[in-house]
Amino acid sequence: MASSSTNKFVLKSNDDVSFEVTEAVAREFQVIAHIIDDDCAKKAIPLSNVTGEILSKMIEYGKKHIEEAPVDEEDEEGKKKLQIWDEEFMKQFNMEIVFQLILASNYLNNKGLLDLTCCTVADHIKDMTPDEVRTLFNVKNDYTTEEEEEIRKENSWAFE
Amino acid sequence: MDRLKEEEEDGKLLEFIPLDLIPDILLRLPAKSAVRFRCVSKLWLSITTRPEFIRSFSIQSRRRLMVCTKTADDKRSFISLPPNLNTPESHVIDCYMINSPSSDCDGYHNHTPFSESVQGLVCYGDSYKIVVWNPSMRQHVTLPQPEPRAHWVRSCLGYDPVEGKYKVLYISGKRAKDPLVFTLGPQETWRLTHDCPVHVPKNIKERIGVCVNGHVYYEAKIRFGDSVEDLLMSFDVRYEKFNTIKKPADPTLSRLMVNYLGKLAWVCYSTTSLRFWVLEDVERQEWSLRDFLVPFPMFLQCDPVWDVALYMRGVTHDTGEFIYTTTIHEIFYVLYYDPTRERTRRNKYEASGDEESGDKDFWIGNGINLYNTDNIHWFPNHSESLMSLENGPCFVPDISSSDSE
Repeated sequence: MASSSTNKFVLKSNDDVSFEVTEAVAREFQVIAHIIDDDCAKKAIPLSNVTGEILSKMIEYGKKHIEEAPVDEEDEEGKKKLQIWDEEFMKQFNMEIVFQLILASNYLNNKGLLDLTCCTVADHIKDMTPDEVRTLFNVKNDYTTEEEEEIRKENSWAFE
Repeated sequence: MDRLKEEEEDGKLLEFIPLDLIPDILLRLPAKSAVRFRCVSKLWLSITTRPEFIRSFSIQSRRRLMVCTKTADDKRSFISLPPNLNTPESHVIDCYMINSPSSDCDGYHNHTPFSESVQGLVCYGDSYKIVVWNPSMRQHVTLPQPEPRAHWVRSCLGYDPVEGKYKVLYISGKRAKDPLVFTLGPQETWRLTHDCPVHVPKNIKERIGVCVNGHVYYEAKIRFGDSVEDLLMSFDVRYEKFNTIKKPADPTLSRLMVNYLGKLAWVCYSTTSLRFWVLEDVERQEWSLRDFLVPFPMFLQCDPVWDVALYMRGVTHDTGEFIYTTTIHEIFYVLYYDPTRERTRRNKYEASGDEESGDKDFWIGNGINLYNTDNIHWFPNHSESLMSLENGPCFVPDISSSDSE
């Protein structure tokens, strides 16, 4: 039986872009790992919720985390290196891509990337006003003026 | 095509985050932002006030070293220090002042806090008044006076991680009486604990114990016939049950107990090494001794690099590093020592004051009118908590708190 480093799978995005990846990289995504385990991965694996652009980024992330995985729990330097890479990796994206990465990492179930992308959004919004957040997340303000005023007053320190 | 058209109309390109992923993002915010965003919508308010969210928030929150001091103008200031000093502007993460309640300890006396920072909350007080603070929420609550009133009382804050409840334990230090317990929350009162062995806590002038994994541990004396034995008491915060545990037979045991990587560790006096006993198995009462050589002098000897004497304050929960600190000349000295990897990190926190005017004073630089430097308390592993102390007993909302970031 072929080892997971030589065994290859093809991941296919919803806009018909195909990526050949090793089994180890494919298994970085829980949903794909299940498909492989269920032996349903003979041909290309279609991913109906992910575009080629996003999938290529996710594979880049998956590859890096396989290739540069810390040796063990004690490998502080390895962990640190990967953490720095993660930070640099996220810097290239605007919020639109980050949001899509959140959706895709949730869909394909990669806890590490979901955590990283959620942290990136949290860091991006932490100094925003509620209004700016509403716009970014397309949330409708369902408070009355009085209600909103009340909440603001109760938590006035959080607005300073 | 339809999507493109919509995007053009709205001028927006963003995919929308489904509701079930919103908490994942909000959990990673600082407490201040999470509270501000309660204003975004009713749904966001309900997400961030759910008990489950509040519990996950403090678990997720990064542990930091916090310093608390009483200021000359009767406030308490809380300063969070970053674990790493990479950039000059990162000397302070957060710094704010909260008006003290009238029941807070007298600023002229150096009251030690009752406990470590327990899941984001700290506790100060004396025999008559106990004040619990949630610095992240700029709140505090004064607990009602326990009846019957006792003398030489020691209290300890505990946290039950299963139900997400905070409880304050109140033990008479002079005459053995049944301890009282108070669960933080609305409509709560002091309750008598049951089936507690008759005991008197030791170290009645200091912090008596530590909360580890839902248990509060403290040293106590128990009378057996004609003799009195020193034992370790454990209080199960969730079930409110007491147990006695045999101490390690070691005459060098100090008074300092810490949470060492999720287990209770009892530190020994030693001038040459870092020695401590770890309670490996609570049921079997098994202790194991750890003994590490330290590359710096200990116990009131000056650190060779900084030329100051450092004191052990605790252990970082995530990395198992021992924390030694001191404050001299308005500078915070913090030494982290990882005994298993034999690695030392030294962080010197200085003022983020005005460089040009030469105003390097840490306190002035952070807008703090310091009363005296003896009143500085260190809380390793402080996390942020969204636990509201509102609706608690005697809650006084603090409207006039001021930030100075």
